[in-house]
Amino acid sequence: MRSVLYVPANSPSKILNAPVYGSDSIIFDLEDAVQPEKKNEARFLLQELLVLDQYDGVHCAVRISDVRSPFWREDLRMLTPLLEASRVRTLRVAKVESEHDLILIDRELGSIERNSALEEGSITLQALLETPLAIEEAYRISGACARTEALVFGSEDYCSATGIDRYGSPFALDYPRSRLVAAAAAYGREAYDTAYGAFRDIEGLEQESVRARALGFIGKSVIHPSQIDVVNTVFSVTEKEAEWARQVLGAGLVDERGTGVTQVEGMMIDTPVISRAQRILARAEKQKR
Amino acid sequence: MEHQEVRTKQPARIHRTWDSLFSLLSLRNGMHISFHHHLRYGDQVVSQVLNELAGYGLSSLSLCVSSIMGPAVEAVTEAVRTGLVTSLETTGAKPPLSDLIAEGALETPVIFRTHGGRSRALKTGETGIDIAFIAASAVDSRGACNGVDGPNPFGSMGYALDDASYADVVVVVSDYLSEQPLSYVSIVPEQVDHVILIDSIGDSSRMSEGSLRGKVSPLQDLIASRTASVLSFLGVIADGFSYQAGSGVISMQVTRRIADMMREKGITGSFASGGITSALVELLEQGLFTELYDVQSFDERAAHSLKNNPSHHEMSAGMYADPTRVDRIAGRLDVMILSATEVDTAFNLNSVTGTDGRIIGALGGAPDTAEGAKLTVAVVPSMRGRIPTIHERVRTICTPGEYVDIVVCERGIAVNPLRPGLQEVLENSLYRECLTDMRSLLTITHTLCGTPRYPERTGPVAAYVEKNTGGVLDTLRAL
Repeated sequence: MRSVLYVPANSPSKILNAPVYGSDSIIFDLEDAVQPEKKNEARFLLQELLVLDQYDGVHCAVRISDVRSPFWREDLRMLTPLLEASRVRTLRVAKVESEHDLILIDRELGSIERNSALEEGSITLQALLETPLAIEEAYRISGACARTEALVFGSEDYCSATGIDRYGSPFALDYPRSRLVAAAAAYGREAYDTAYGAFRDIEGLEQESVRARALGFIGKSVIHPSQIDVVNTVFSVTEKEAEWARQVLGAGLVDERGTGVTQVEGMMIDTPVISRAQRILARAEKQKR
Repeated sequence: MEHQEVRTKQPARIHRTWDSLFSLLSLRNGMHISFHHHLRYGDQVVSQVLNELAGYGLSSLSLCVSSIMGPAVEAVTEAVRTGLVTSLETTGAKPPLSDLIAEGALETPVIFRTHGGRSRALKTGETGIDIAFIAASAVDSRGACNGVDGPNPFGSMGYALDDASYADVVVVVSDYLSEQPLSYVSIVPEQVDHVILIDSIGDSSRMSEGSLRGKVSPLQDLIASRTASVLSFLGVIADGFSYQAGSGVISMQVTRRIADMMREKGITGSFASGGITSALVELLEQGLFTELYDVQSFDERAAHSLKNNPSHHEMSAGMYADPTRVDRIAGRLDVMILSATEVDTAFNLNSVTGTDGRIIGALGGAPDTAEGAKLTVAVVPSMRGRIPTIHERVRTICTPGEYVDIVVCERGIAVNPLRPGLQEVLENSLYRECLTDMRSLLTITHTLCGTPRYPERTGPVAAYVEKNTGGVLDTLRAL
């Protein structure tokens, strides 16, 4: 997924209209966007609305509160009927700071799956890493449980704790980004970049997206529909990249004589290059859908 | 600028008191009087004149008003309540006046006319005006007047130009008497019988309040961007094209998007028309359009431009949209962008009533321009709040579906089946994924929101919506 749109889970019209903007994924936010006293009505709203057919063509997930909050168990309990009745199969967990956070949620979900119509292990997790501690723990978080599909960078708390001005330089967050991407890749997880808060600054968003993509992220969270187009564009597989990947896969590992490695455009083709080409074509295929 | 019928008359008399004016007007119960609405939300003329007429002991007047908004709504409402006004012809209404209409408070059903339809009705004599009270921002000693000089310039007097041509008696109401003959003249002295000078005609700085301002939501921008993109693909945004958009937020955003494309591609349009905003003035000044035809200025900058820019033309409602005129501007439009409160599966548009049947809007020039333009696009969100705007049949037909070529909403683009060529072009393009039909849009919207049940209205006829060519298009009944 290239663009992942956050939508407050307590706004009926925003929930209903979320699929029309063209993001690859939508995260319905039960955490920061919803005040404590509104959590229940938001959970109920998601149960009622996300079962409608209109979400069929877009990946949907729900952001739940972190395990140190009093809300996450109730989030899971009330979302169970939704998970059973809809195509929502992904939860984005806020403020994950250690592997134990995910292990706790993994156990809870396992129990829910065993006691419902849900297939065991069918609910996947995206872990949101938002603090310096989380970034330093990224490797262990990434490997905490099998249902983790992605690590997601959240920069606001990280910048607040470290004093980094993220808008001061496109390179300011290179370290946490790189560490998160490496930790994700170590376990074959995907990596998604943080949202860009200055939603009217499309040029700044583009610069940051280009940087994030160069560092290995495959997509980015967005907080406003106006950010979707540029994020989709930056994170799209270009025709040139797809053509290169097709050439690599066409050439294979061994040359025609069976005696030496092949090359494409002066690059030696070995197993990692083949894997990369396969990933590029898989992403290109997803884009078409 | 265009002037219509000029009659030979005595020089205009200038009055400084209502008594002086009224003593010469042969006032009587049941008279037909008219106003324009160019001062919009800053108008204080309608209320002052009605107040003076009430003080004179009149009743059962028939009002022919180009539109009613701002302080005029309260004034006309009070006049209906007291019996001063018992008959009304206008283009739409807002609460509390509209609620009074819906209760059947007037003796005869209200007639809602398009701007072009009003001009036609005045010209043919279908509706007559005994006295036209015409607010002017400046008048000179000859009786010549305009809307561009004086302390309250409101710009074009487009709707009043027809009143000046066809009313039996023309009274210019102004707060500014120019000692010098006005250099810019909207209504010539030969058309003016009386001038009354009052302390204030209102506050022109308040003209642009109301529906014209609004933050553009992501959804509205999505519809606008999609519309501009489709128009560009169809090749209609090209050198020399002519353009008009309604005053809704989405329509105005379409204009911004089209202007961006024109800048990017170096396209120059021929003219933009209708209600003129500062945004359109900017496009004229930037050279994106070569001319503006202004039937009504929406803000002070537009009023200033009308006076000073020779490419910014004042036009009468007749020149704008009288359907019997072959030279009408509406008939020369390449593209018309409309908004609506509701749209139905037959592409009919409602712009007068809400889904609950309450009268909240107006016909304006939408049906005239939709009929005249080569390509008419309706831009509507499929729901507002959680109330569907797409229906099996709209509550009130205002613009017949046969005049609407395309409906663009956030959930797709529907082409009128009466335009198979247009459908084919879009089907063979990148837009095929957005293409849908009104039936599908209805199904989706009603699945998401539920199907609204209209409140029953079975009372006597409270208002007629008139076709721009005359005759009844639809009927509004009282509760």
